[in-house]
Amino acid sequence: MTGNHPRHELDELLMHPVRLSVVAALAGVERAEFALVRDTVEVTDPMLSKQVALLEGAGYVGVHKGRVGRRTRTWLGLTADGREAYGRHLAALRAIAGDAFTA
Amino acid sequence: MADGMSPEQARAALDRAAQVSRRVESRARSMKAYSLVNAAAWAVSILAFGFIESIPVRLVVWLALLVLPLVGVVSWYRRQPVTAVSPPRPRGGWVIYSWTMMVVYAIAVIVGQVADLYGEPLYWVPAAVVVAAPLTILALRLPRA
Repeated sequence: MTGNHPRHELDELLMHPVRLSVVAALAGVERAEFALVRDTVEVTDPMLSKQVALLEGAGYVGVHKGRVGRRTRTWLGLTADGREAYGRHLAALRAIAGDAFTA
Repeated sequence: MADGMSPEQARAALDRAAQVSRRVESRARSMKAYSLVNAAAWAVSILAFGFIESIPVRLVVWLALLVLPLVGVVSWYRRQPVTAVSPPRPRGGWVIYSWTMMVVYAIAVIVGQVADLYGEPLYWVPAAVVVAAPLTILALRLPRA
């Protein structure tokens, strides 16, 4: 079903609170370490891995592994598509939040 | 799912997103420190080049001044858990400013050598300022350390 209500602009993938938080965490930065995102979003490693895999599959998040000294680190960053999707999703949320009419 | 979203839920989602964004952004480190350390190192290295008379000592000091700060700041930058959004325009800012600095540096060294200006502060001090300018300008354009 399509229509003019802003809810139609919401991104289904970002309706999940953890995925929205992950994308929000990455929105204002170039890249962030997996562990920092995990602690900020307050989820477990497997939970974050699962949600990041979904976002990566959709082309919203890029995952890069690198070594710093002897440690391997995983970096997460939003792709251009991810930034665009997040922007659209936020705009739809703002429209709903400011919309007196509820469907 | 979206059909049932109320304005209150939308507001709550926006608040959560903004809060998480702010928390991560506050940890982000840009290339400000990186740029300032390199600007200073290159400026001091050109002074070493212009004022140290002994060629072996000059080469050792010159290389140390270029390599050690660079290794230190690269190592620090790579350890940061969050990096800020890339330098502002022009796109690829870091590369453009770096190349500008290196071209200015090369010109300053060649002119100083060809004109035999060793030990001449009226030439080398302004040259150091000009060499440091591109990366200092980049650093000033970056939002935070």
